[in-house]
Amino acid sequence: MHIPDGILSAPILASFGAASSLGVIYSARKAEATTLAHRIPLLGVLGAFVFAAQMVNFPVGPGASGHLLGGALLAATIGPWAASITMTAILIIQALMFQDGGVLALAANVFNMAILGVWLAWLPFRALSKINQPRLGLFLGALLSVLLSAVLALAQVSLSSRVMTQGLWVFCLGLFIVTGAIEGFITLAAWEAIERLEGRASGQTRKPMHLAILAASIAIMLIGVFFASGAPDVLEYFQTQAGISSSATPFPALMPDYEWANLNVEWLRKSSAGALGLLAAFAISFLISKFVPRGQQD
Amino acid sequence: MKLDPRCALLLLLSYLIALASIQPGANRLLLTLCALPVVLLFLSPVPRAELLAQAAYVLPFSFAIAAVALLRGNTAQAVFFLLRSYISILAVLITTKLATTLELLRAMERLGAPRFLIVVCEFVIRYIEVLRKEADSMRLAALCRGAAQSKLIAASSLGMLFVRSLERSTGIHNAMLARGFNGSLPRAYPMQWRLADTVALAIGIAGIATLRWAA
Amino acid sequence: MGCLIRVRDLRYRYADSGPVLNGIDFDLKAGESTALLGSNGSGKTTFALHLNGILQGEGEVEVATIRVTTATLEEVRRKVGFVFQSSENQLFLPTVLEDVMFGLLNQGVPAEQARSRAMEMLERLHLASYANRNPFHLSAGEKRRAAIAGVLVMSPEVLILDEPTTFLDPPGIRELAAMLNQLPMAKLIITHDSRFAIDTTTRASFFDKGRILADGPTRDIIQRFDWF
Repeated sequence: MHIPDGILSAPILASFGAASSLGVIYSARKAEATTLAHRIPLLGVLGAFVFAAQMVNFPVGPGASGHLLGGALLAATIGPWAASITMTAILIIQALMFQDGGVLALAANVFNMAILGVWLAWLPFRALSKINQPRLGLFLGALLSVLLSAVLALAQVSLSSRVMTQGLWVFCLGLFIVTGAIEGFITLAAWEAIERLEGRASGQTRKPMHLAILAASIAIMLIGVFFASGAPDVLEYFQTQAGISSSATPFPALMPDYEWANLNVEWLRKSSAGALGLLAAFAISFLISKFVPRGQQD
Repeated sequence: MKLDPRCALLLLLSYLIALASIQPGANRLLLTLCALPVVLLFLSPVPRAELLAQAAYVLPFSFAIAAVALLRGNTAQAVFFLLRSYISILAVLITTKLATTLELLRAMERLGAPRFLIVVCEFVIRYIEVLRKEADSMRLAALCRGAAQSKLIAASSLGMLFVRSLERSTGIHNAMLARGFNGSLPRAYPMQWRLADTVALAIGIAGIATLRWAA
Repeated sequence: MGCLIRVRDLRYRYADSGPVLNGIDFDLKAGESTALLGSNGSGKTTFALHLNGILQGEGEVEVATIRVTTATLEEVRRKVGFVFQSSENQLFLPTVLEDVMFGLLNQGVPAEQARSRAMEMLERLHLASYANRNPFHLSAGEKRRAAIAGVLVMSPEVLILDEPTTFLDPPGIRELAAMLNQLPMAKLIITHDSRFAIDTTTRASFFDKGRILADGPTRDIIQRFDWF
């Protein structure tokens, strides 16, 4: 999310400006030390690649398309230090040449997308590559990178403008999760295409994608719990109106009110039920897909 | 008289900082500060109508913030954020007309930005249009094959663009080596700070500070 | 007359492929202009990249009596000017003037002097008005001239051009041929364009599967191998 000038307050700009400056100076030193001379033009050309990639419309649903944002792909291909510098270069040029994001607001945008965003993309990729799951790591990294850097940006805007409401937060969060998931899918698709072109395609099956979807669902559920409304839903409302809400249930519920009562931490109590439900749904779907034959595909 | 790009950049940043320091809703003070870029717009050899229109074109984000403020009954704040965004973008647009993006980047380097970062920026500027042209050719090729809505074609286009970028960077590096590149990129652009730049900077900052804090 | 370029038994293979050069012997005298002909993949460009040390295979490569090794690369690259097939990759700096200055700055020429020499070269090649333009905006012919300017300004003793007529229209090709014929230094021109080879070179070497099959007057080689 590119924040324009005129929105952020001076304290936010000052604090994130200091953090960004230190981050960029340090990243530049590390990138220069770890980038072999022959790869210096590569960083610039890949920065130009990110601009060009935004022209490639990736169909993501009926009548909808997205485009690659690029942070995760950069982090996975040239490492986090070089990716931070390349993303910073992209943000500076977007601000100066295309007015996409402000000039002073680079203080926040660079921190959100070029530092936090790149490392959030890199760490899951690195960790999961070590257990031979680079694709899952790439997807998760892309999702988290877009989601959390957008959340931070919105927090900065919210603190500066004080116009955000809880409802708006929930709406924006949903949007960021969808954008993050789209970035994850596009990044993964681009990665696989690159591997095919470079003759490194492993012929892996789609199993990691199931795990990716599961991971994304858990992420959505865990974050959503923070913003879950305490008000009764439609069904409960009409039950109360009709006076039938206190009727006894024929079977004892495993987790009444969607809470695992044995846990003391409130957030964990609420979210664990959802997580277990998701896992159960996933397990049942997986078993069905294994034993029920598929229909003929066109 | 052309200002040193460092002077232009410092003046722009000073102005944006002054704007950022205004409390939301202080519209009278904001209007006072708006005078500066408007005066500069009419005194400078820049395409006025084009810049005024371009500044409005990039406002969707601020419209969203303003709309929410308006819905919450805070008209002054809505106007404030719209106006502050608009005048900020206008100031940036005027500056980028008076000094090129390349000059501003080099000014950043002279003012302390890491050289490695600026070198990468320069490569990006050089090759944006080249890569965009390649992406456009791929898009047209996909359209001609009726595959505009194909995920596979889109992914392959991204993959191909990426791999070509790798190949291109090898070609560039060979060209650099052939002309004596030894790992450090020489700086080719002189920048000369003159007395006129000192005067312009002093007057500019004094003017901004006066309007912001003494008004 | 001594040889400016002397190659003996040059062999090379890329990391992921079979042998690309299978024992090349080659000489180029000062002031001589030679075409390298042969089909795609015959090893012409790979051979040429050994002459300025970008690739280093087995065998002997000497430029102006300097043996090409890792230690002598800086010196060799002052003597050999290489114009690559892709002008887009060769002109990698954000303005034409800075790109033409690049080689001089690497040679240690002070910035002001490099700037004036570069401007002189641009004027000589009718490109002075493009000095502050992004090379992307030049036409194919203009890019080729700018690339050559960046190499010529370094005063090389031998000029290597890899497929210089790529993307040029017929008038552009004629213009390029006329320009090259006025340059006094030795030239090595890799080309598929027989007409261009005849117009700009007196001698040709024919490459096939990493070897030089024949060497002789350009017209004779073209006729012998039916290279029209």
